[in-house]
Amino acid sequence: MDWAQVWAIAVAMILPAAFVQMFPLWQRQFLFTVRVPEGFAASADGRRIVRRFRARLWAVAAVCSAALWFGAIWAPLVNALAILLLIQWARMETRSFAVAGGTLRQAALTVGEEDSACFAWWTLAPVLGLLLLALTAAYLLGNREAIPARFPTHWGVTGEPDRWSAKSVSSVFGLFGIGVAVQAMLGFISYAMAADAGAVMSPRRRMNLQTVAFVSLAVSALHVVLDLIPLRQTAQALPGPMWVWFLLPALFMAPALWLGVRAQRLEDSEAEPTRDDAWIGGIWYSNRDDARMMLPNRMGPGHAYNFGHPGVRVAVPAVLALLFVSIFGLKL
Amino acid sequence: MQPAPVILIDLAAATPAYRQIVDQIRHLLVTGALRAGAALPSVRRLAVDLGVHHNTVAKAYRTLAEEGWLRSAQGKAVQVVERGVLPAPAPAEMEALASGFERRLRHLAAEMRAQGLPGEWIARQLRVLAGEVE
Repeated sequence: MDWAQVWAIAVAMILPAAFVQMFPLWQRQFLFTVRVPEGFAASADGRRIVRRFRARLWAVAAVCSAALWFGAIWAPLVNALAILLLIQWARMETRSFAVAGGTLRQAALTVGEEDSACFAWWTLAPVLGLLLLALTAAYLLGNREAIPARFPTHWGVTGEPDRWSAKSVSSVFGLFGIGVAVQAMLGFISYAMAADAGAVMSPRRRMNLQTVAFVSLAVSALHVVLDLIPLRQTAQALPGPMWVWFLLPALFMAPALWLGVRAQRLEDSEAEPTRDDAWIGGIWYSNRDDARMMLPNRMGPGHAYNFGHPGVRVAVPAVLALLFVSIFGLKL
Repeated sequence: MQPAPVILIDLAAATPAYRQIVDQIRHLLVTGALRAGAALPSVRRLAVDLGVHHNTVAKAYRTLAEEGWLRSAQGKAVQVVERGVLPAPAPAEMEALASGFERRLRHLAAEMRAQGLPGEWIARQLRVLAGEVE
């Protein structure tokens, strides 16, 4: 048995399907991004729609897993696109049960400490991540003479390197660009979620901010280890036991799955009354008349960007460009 | 401690959001729920809380400032000011003003009846309003 393929199937197919199958029950007032009556998801119709969605989800995951097993490297991409289509399909099925309303918003006319109550230390996690990357880059720069002319950049299942790279600015520091782009994106998300929290931070938003902080610190720690690899002159294998590297995706996904379970028990203290017509396909939000940069998704975890906001229209393409240049630079 | 006054807007209503904000804050000012010296949230904070554009809140605050209710300066909190007693309008102006409001009131009452609200309820609300005004 090829364990590398088993691992790829688990990471690219099984874990995403296990995660996405929790999405429908994440928000109480929405099912597949359609506004429904309270408790609809638990009704016979609601359960039928969710059951069908999950059956299709796992069927697609099984087909794509088989394709990946037989060497189709495009299977994860097809799986991701199929998930988007399945959501739209379930959305159409839910539409006949949609209810109107939910456009009332209220605000208390208060000022004072509430304005700064939403600042939390975990919004600084991406700054800490950037600092860690900067220190690692400085260390690498200071020891650049010690970097061998050729170092490993990819490892096989046994932990033995199977791809190598010649010493160059791009091969040694290219990963930093990706790291900086990821931290910049997470930093922007943290800032936008905290700034748009309103007078009172809801438990759901706080939970999402904590998730971003966890991901930011975990990714920056991973970057420190990976970025220092050129200095491991004697190492033929990756630092640390191989099973840790195989378990890494699970270590990232486990807190996400736990958050999913927790989110379903949360009362929706941050119901977001927004105009239905501002949601394209139920998942892409664009409203120029809304001052918020991010607001809770109508389905699944996390927040959606408001692409009608000028800040988002500048920040997101800028970070994506940085990511693209870093990856492109790595391959040069 | 008294709870903070709250305003409620409907993003899907035909009345523009800025007009809804103006009407509700003005009501709070007229009824004394907001008194001189009270500070209002910043334009950004209120826009985020209501899910509207900054310009919408800025326009509402500007309208109320032009009516003499608010004072806002760059970098400072928006504050309710003592409006003082306005000079009585000239008789001709007063007549035009009164007839304009009377027409709007009649249209509003007709709209309420057309929407199915009972006449008794409308009359009761008008009496409550009359008590507040007096």
